[in-house]
Amino acid sequence: MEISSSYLTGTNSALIALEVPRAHVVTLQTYIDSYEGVGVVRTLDREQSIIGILTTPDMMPVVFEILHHLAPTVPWRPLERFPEEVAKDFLAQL
Amino acid sequence: MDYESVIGLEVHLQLSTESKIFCSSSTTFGADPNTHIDPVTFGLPGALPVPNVKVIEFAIMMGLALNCDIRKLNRFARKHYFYPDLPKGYQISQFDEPICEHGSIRIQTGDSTRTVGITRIHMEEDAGKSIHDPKTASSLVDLNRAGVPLLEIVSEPDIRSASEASAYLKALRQIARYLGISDGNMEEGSLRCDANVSLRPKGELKFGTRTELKNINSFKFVERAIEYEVARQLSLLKNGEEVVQETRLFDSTTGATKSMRSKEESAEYRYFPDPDLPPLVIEESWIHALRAKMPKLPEEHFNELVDTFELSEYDAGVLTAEKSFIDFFMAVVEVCRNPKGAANWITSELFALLHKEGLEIERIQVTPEQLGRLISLIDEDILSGRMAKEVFEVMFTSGRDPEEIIEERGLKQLTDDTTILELIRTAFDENPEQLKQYLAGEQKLHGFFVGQVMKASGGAANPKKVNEILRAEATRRENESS
Repeated sequence: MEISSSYLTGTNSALIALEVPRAHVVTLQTYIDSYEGVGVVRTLDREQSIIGILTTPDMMPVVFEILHHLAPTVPWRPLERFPEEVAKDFLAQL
Repeated sequence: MDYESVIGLEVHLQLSTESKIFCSSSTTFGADPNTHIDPVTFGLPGALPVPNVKVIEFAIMMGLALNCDIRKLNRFARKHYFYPDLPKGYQISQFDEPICEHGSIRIQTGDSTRTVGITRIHMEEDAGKSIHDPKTASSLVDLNRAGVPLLEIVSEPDIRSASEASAYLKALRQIARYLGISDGNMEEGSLRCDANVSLRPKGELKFGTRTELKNINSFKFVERAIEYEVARQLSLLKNGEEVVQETRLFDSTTGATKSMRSKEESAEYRYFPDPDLPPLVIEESWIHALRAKMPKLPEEHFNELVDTFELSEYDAGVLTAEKSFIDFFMAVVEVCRNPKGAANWITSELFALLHKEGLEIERIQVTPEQLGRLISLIDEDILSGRMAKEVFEVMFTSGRDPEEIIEERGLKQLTDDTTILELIRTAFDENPEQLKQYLAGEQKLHGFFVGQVMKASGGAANPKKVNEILRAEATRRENESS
């Protein structure tokens, strides 16, 4: 497991961490939910407004593609590093 | 070229919990459609699953019974697929971190005993049920079963024949019933089985291409489905054709398997950890506590019956087939201290009446204590075997005590030496010609005189005593005449 960017990948799952303005979190979640099964959005750090998209390594390119298409609507920002405190969350124990 | 079959079974065992695996809806079978449902079962937005602790306990108990390692940290995972009876669009299951791994079970087929490896046991929820109505060309969905807890038990490909597969399945069911974690009823769907079947040349280590057989819902069908599939694959291979990896459906009316779909690989299910359920951390103390409260398992009982009670392997097998049988047997022995007598009475008289009346042993009126006392009355020569059968039939239908029935029917065995001697003397005196031949050495007339005495006593005389006294009286008369 490597904590060098905004995502973690395990053998079977991947967690993408993004900073999303609080007002846009529900919109992002609704979009991701509408692509059934592509991934699940969860809050990772409420204070810093960091959300995680839990997906599979194979699905990561699809999730990034969706995110790029959403960028004009939902201003998300990749984190430079995967936050260490977030890495303690069970979702990040891949 | 000779081929050998390589078979692995995936067994789904429905657990006997009162509520579902992740919510409090009832698991009772046979209710009106869609009456055991709630927001979690429906997968409504915002509804969160909460694991049922009983399911985890049952999984650990099954794992211990099958000699598995219990993973101290294990997770639930989402298995995605689309089907109308799966409202959430995914099934909560376990993937690469199942609760139990690396176990084994011993099975017996004929005279041989083999060990089959258990790859893993994991917990998962059942899906709902689609009911297809050809009359109205419509499909209905019943979600009562959605969320009912299951254990999936996956064997290693160690099974080599259809009869071994059936023996394996029966052994699993027996253990689950002993543990009280499932009724293992195949007809009601509490025990379902998929079989992975492949062939390989004898001596070859590499596995051949396998097919997965589904829709097998009885022990008999397991054998038939596998036998058919082995023959089908053998015919393909002998004709130089290839076996296609696919899922095949067993049709019990034709006894054949037919192609259902090409087999999915696990990647197609997009497994990932369920973010709504934190990992399960199982402490060693919990495992110890569960191990301590587990009942004796069939194999241990079997060995005790054979080694300590000196019963035949056949009787031990019959008595350990169900936990209710061995519990009844042990309670009878506790009273009469006669294991062989108890085994004979249970496997012959009691089972015959159960079969005749179509009853389960749990539902009968006669208690093991009462049967134990009846056997003691025979051992104390108070009752003959014939009388005891008459008494037992009344006990079975009424639940009354043996002593009360004996008293009421005046059935006590005649054991008084003087009275028996009187009856013998009368029999001798009334049959002088036969007596003469008997005293001259015609041994077969011994039975004749025993019969006369039994008849005169109305069947009440103790046959053992009649034999002894009759011989003594004959010897006395022989000495007198010489």
